[in-house]
Amino acid sequence: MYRLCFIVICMFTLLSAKTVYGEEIVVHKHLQQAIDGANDGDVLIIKQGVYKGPITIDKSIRFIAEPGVVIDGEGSEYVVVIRASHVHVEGMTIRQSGYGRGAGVFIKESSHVTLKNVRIEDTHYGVYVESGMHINIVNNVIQGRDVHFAQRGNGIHLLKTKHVAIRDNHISRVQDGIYLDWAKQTVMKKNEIIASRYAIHLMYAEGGIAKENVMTENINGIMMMMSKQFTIERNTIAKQLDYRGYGVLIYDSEHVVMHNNTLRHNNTALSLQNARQCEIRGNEFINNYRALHSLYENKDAIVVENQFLGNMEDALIQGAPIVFDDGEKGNYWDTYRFYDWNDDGIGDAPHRIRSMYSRLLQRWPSVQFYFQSPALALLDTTESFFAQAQAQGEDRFPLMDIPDRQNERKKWSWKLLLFGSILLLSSLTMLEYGRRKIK
Amino acid sequence: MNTAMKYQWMVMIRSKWLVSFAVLFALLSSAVIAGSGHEATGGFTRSTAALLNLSLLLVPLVSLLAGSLFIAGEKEDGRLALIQTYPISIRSLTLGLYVGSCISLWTVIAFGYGSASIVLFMTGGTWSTFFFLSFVLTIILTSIFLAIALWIGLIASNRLQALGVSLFVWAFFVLFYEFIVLALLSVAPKQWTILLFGLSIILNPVELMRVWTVAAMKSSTLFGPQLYEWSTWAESTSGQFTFAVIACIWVIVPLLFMNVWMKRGKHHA
Repeated sequence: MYRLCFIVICMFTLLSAKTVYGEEIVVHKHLQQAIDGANDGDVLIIKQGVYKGPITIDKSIRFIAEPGVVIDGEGSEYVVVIRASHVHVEGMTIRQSGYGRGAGVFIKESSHVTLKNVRIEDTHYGVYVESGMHINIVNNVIQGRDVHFAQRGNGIHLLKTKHVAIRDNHISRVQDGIYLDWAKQTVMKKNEIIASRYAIHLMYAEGGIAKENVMTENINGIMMMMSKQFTIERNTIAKQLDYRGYGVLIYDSEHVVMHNNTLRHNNTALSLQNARQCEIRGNEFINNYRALHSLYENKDAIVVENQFLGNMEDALIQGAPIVFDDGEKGNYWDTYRFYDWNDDGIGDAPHRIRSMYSRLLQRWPSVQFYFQSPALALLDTTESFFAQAQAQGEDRFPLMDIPDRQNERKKWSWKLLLFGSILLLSSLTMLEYGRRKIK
Repeated sequence: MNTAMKYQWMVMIRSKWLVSFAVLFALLSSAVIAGSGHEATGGFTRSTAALLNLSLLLVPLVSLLAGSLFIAGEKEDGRLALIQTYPISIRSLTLGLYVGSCISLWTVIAFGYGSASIVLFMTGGTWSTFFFLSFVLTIILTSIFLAIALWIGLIASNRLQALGVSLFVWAFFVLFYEFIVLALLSVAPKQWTILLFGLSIILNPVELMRVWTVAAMKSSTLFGPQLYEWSTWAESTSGQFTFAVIACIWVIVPLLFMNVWMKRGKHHA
């Protein structure tokens, strides 16, 4: 009897579950009509073809495209508008929004919306989310228009949102890759953002994390303004080489944690400008023109266990001094010139950050023309031996070894060997030939 | 030209002094390259800047000393007067002496860059177009300073005078020049900045090579926001072409002077 009751309950549950997911409707043409005729919970399967936009999704439906589906806005302001919760959009190409505020996908006052495997091209904004919650933007490709970035919109624009997850997207040629305006608890993970103005731009953002993203060849990698409680972790931020290029710029923000990022070959890798209670720990600063820039007062900012390798200038401190150690450990500087006789892993003398060039630069900005020129480099080196008192900053516990050194095996560069061998052999031949001829 | 070239090349390459410089340059550039490693990106970095600075400091010095002392020596010992009696035109003689000296010094530079590349290869470094660019530009720098050096050697009355003048010219171009320009910048009106920088590049081959290398590597954002438009031009084809033309002028003008000087000398003789 009990068993029979159980089976009846199970069957009832299964049957009712089907009604929750709704009907599966195959759509060949007239998308908007299909949406208007659908009920909450329906699944719309869109067959291959080019469909005319704009469309508005105002029901809780799953909107799944088969390969080869294109929704063309033909210049209308938005191409796809979502004004309902529990919406899932997957797999199509969205193109041709209008200019101004136009967007490929516009999500307003919605929650639990997923946008997945969508390609957005030739639109002003890629995805514009206004007052949304629990939105997932996953594995999309967003490519802006081929115009100057001042005329482009942002890749993903969040305005007054909460709990938005942005993962595995590839964003290029937009104004700002991901723009957060009054956005709370945003998770940005494994996105790739290239050739834009700022890769990630935060304004009045609160909470959230940027993790394992790759940001290259933008003007700035992460531009953070008036934001708080944000974590930047294990990102690769490289080749922001514009003359105003910053890997990360933190302005007037607080409680920012930057851990284990790689900042490689940027104009300025990290700039702190009135950044309060920030922790910069375990990052690699490699081959930047300038690794760290500190302006104004960065209260309680702590910079420890970072590696400074091959940077032309380690730090420029233009405001109040900042702390380069936590009282026990400092950072690894490849420009550190002292020894560790007591073998405790900490250099015996403090590492003083100073640069004749930096001081000249503050008075005459055009001195930058002579950055690393022979005479100034010579002057800088000479000065570093004598002018101990003029340090701009100090690491009292410089590390002698690179923390958590990654044993990445480099490939042999055969081109280098070939180049070297050709030069060596030809020069030796010339030397020998010249000498033999004399005899 | 051929005879004079071979003569000059063999005399110079036989010099122990030049061979020791080859070894010194190779050692220094290898040390610089190995010591400042971490070369994983293609652009202009600290190790490339260090190698470039080494070239900019040493190459003009050696070119000036080698070129001027050899010619002054030849003149002092009377061998130059002897060569001038050969049935070759003054122009061929000038060119021959110049090309001969160039080949000798290029050999030395090639030896230095070759060794540095091998050392970098062994320390696990990566290839960068910088090596090729820097090598080519160093070769050009050598050529420019050799032209100046030969002229100095010719006008100097003896080796000691040639040495003094060469050292002064080297110190002026490499060490003092930047500070003079900086001093001028600090007093000149702001709108003169670009003009002053432009002139400073034209008037000093060391500056020319430094700026050319950075621009050729598309890294001139290094020069800062004030020179943004200028940097964009410098990286463009017309900018690169202009640099090449200025370099040619720096080779041709001293050689012309030398030619005129030799002619006058021959007539006097």
